[in-house]
Amino acid sequence: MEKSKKTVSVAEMGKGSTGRVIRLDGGQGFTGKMDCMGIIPGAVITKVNQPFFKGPVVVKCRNAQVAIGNGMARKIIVEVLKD
Amino acid sequence: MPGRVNKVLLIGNPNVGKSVVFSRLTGVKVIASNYPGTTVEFSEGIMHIDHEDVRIADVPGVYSLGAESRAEEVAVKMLEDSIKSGEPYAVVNVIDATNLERNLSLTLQLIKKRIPMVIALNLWDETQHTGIEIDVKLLESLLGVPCVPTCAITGEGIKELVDSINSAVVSGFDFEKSEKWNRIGEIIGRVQKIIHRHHTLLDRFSEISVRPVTGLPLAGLIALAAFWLIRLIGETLINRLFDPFFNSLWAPAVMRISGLLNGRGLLHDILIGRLAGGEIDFGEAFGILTTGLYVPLAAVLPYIFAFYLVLSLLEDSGYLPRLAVLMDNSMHKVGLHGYGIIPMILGLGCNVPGALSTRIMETKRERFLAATIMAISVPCMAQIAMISGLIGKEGARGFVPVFGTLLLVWVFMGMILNRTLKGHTPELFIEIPPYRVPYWNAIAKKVWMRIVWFIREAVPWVLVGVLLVNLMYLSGMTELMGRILSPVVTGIMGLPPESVGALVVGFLRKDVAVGMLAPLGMTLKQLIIACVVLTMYFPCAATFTVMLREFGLKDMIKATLIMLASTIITGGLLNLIL
Repeated sequence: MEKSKKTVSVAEMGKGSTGRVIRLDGGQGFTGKMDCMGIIPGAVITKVNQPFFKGPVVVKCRNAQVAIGNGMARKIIVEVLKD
Repeated sequence: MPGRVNKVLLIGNPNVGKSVVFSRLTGVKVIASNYPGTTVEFSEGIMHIDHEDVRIADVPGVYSLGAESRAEEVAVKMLEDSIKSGEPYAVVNVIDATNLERNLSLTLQLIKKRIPMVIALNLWDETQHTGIEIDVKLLESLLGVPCVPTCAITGEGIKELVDSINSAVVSGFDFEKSEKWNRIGEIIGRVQKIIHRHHTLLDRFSEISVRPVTGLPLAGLIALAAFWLIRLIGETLINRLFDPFFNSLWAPAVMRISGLLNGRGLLHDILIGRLAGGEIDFGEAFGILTTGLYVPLAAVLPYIFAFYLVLSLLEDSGYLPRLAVLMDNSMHKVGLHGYGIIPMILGLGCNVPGALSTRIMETKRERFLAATIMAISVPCMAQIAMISGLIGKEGARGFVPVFGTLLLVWVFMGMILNRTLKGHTPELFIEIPPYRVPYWNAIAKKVWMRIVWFIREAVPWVLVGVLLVNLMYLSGMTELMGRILSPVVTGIMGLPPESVGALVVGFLRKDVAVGMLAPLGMTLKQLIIACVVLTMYFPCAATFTVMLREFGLKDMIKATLIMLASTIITGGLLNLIL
């Protein structure tokens, strides 16, 4: 299997880069919460800000902006489509 | 099977304008803003469909029907009660048309419940400016329920929405739960076209305001501008309007009444108060017709107006959720996430809405923590106005110790409670709405509602407070209590025994209590301590009642003990340090 695209968590993504969600590393509560905002495997996410320390990450998903706490952002794994 | 309904439920995501639709449909005024969670409790009203009264409920905004948050529990329960009741009802699913894809998630969940519904595509006007085209007819046929474009804030489409309610139908659309987002994707692909556009000024501003490097200085500037504006508006109104009115129109009338009462006696003391050399000092006379009216109307109201005008602008523009993102790191230190800034900001206006707004926090721990530190160390606008009047002439020498101490107390209390209360702080997870240029009509309506609320809630209590001051003084109660409490008040905090009267009245209204300090001839140090102590020791009666209702007796006793202990410690320390 070819593995050309790099996979990172949303917390580690660069500011302004876009990725496709490949998995959510969390329990049902967490995936349920993400589902409300349409953050599910396959969804495309663009990172809007690069917080200080462990601040919340702001992403754009399905044409809406969502602020996600850093701990949660680390559980959303994406493959980077555009840096 | 469309037919007459006698109950309507407004259901939709947070911040799609349900409350504005609700007030359009019913004529009932409710507070609406541009941040998720403005409606934390449902409101009910009556609307007219074909000249018939129909009950309508504004359900708190939810993203799903999963019953995970308190708002979701309320929404699911309301929906199920309607299904069970057997009455003919309809759901109006209010959608943010600029955010169709995300909003359809709830729509499909509602469809799955097999309930009669119609869809209001709200914020329709904005789709046009933002280059979004939606084929309403196609959407209607795909979803199998009526869809009506609306712009609730201007009232467009509301009539059509009302007309459509009796044709609400159960949709025949079916899908597998796991396929929800895929099906939404298909629908979006067919009905929505987004015309590519360049970044607008607001888009750019939006990015600047959530990036720490640019956002934090911007937040500082906005805070400074807000304070400057509130002060400018408040002072101008007092100097140009309220003081001239009281001094040149009301004073002669009061002197006339004073003359009729022969200038002395019990009734004179209560109505007019004490005159200084035949002149009225509205701040110090302490009669019901003098200080009782002057404090709420001339000293406090102008600042209340200024505060709510500025707050409404911040709310409706959509800035507050961005501030929550920026403040998140710092707020975690005091055991809250970024959204905890909202009860604090609302508390600066009045602690009552501040305490109510703690409902936007997810856990009981956060709600208790937020309400307690707010009640202890966030002074309300009425109190700030009176403190400014009292120590304003001292400038920074007065302001910095008072508000600096309160800020430190806020930080320390938050940190201590965060360590001692069981549980942990959940992470921030909120939608950031787009910036919107506020509608002046909506702002004016909201400010008006809040002013009316203030006058109705505050003025009677101020009058009762002033009456109580006089009765306590005349009956010797003030002196007696002063003697009993003097070990704490004088011994630890270094305040004169007469200031106990202010502490007693502070249970009713803190602005009156601060006003009572003026005639005592205290030193600056004593004034600073008294202002801090009056803010901290106990919430006013109105805030206490709300907190009691929200948290119950046991937690309230806990909060009260925390308040008293922290007040004595802070007052004592200030007495030692200053």
